[in-house]
Amino acid sequence: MIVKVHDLVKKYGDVIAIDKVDLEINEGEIYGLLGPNGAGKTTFINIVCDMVKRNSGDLYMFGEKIDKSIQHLKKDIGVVPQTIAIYDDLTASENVAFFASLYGIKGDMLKERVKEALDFVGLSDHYKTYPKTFSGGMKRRLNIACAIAHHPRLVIMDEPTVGIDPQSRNHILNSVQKLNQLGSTIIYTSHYMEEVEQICTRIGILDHGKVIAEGTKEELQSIVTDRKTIIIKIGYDQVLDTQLLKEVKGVMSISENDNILRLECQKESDCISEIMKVLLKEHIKVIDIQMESVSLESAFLSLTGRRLRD
Amino acid sequence: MNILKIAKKEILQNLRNVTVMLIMTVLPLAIIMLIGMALNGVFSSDEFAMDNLELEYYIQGEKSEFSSGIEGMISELLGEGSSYNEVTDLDQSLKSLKNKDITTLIWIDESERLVKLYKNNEFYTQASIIENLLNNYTVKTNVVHEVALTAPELLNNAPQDYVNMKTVNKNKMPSSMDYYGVVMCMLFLFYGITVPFSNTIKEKKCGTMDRILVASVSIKEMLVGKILGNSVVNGIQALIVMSTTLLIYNVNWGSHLVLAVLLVISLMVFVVSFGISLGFLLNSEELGNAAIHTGIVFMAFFGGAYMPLVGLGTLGEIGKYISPLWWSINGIMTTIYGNSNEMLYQAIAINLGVSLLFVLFTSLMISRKGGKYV
Repeated sequence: MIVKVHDLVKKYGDVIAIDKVDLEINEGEIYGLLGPNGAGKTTFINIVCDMVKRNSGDLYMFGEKIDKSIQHLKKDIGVVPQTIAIYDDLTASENVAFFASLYGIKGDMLKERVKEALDFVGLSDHYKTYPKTFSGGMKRRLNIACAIAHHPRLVIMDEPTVGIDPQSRNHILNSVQKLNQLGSTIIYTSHYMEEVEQICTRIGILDHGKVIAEGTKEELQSIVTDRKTIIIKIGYDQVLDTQLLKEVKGVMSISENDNILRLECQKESDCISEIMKVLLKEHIKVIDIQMESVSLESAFLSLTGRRLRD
Repeated sequence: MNILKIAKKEILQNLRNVTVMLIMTVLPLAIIMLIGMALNGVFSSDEFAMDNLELEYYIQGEKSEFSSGIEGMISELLGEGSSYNEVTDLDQSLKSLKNKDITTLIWIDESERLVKLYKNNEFYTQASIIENLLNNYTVKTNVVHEVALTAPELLNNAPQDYVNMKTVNKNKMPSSMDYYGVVMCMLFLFYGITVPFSNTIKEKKCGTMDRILVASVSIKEMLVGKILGNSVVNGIQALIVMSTTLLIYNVNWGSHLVLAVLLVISLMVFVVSFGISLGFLLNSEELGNAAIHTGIVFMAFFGGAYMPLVGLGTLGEIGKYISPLWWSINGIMTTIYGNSNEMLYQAIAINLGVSLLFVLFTSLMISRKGGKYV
């Protein structure tokens, strides 16, 4: 286990930012931390990075119980902050070298690591370039390079793809997966649900300081819904008494919009064949039929009552 | 080691900021040249000569070597047409001072070994020179007196001139270029507060400070590293200004150039510590800069950076002691024109002491906020 918290509490005055959180992040995972604004994600990250002191609860890092400072463990942690935390008046290589040097890397090894980190994020051609000339995506990639040059075992990424073009986003997502394959454990927070769905092996949903659900993408989807949606497109001239479909076992509700029927059914029921039988019996021409899977976005909405970007 | 890494980064960043480098070097040199030339008439040597001064002194108690020493020192200082007379009626002498009939009244208490100086502000500069000399004299003689009382044997082997007072060189009075060359060099160091202040605020806002603290760097290491780095850059700027005034403008920095450099270094550390501490404690760059610039104007005024302070009454007396610039200007001027280093040492101690207080206060405030600097 890389990070484990038990009964973690952090208060700012009367406001409870983290409320008795239990969480465990295992070695080799890409752990997605989801939550609307103010859910407590950044506070959680700050506690793990030792930037903020917790009020109570247990924190374990790399198997070690943390009572005071994690100073001796900091070399194993790399943080990619949400803001682009780089110096515009230092070149790309100077930026990476400065931050890596703070973790004790020096001499020839420092030069090697700087080159390696810039290669990794695709900025090897911009070794001596000042970041003020970079695009948003390039700055984000440099932001990552500054966090990984010292080869941390745990990389914490706080919304690393905010405000960049799709090409740079794909590059970053591929880099995250590559970093994970090279042995780093990743904690990844994002406002983009599709990113989390794409790369995270496990996801925790944080809301009002509490972990309200945790698991793989499939597990979360199954937790939050007991229904499925069937969408049937019928011919324009077809007339159907929808009451007949409502009588099918497992169908919970039907809505009709022009020639599209939307049926909410119990997830476990085998109602499709029965629905088809009714349509055939009534001589209804079916143009298309689709099963809508439950997305993580809808799972999140169902759990928190809020959209992720609210 | 982290301190040096942070200092190196600060030096690199500041040296690359060409605009600031130019402002902090070219601007003071231009102002010194313009003001020095423009006010040349105001600072004619006649204004500062120690001639035609009427001094009176009153001795309380039995006359001893203490008051004789003062008599000798003052008489050596005074120029043509000046007089130095003992009086027995203190009230009458005070009235004369109020009526501006005399320049200065010196009140000597033999039993307490104290000296009080009553000044006429029309002769402020001359009176200030006398004040500094008296101050040094009493400090030195009191030390010897205490040694004589507690351990007289120590004086047996001491040189006979252990109270060695030097007087002001009557012919060495500052021209406007001399005065503003020294003063503007120091004043512009204070404008250096804004650079480390703004950089610290920016560093907080863009997240690089968090990033440094996430690595194994403590707040104290970061504070000291930033102070060190910024001091080096400000030092280079100050050295450029100082050497240009010395070599090209022929500004008189005195015969103790090393002491003058030490004073400038201490003032630089003071300025940088203040700017960085303020950057850690405040979040609004606009508010901070407004406060800094307003503060500099008041500090410069009461410090005598715009013109030598004359006739400001109680407000001026309080203001000058609060202004860190006054201590430094007074210290360097006394060294150059009063042949005494006491005030300069005092100024260096104040600059470094207050810098240390800034750092400790900032560290304490950050610790009280659980390690967070906002």
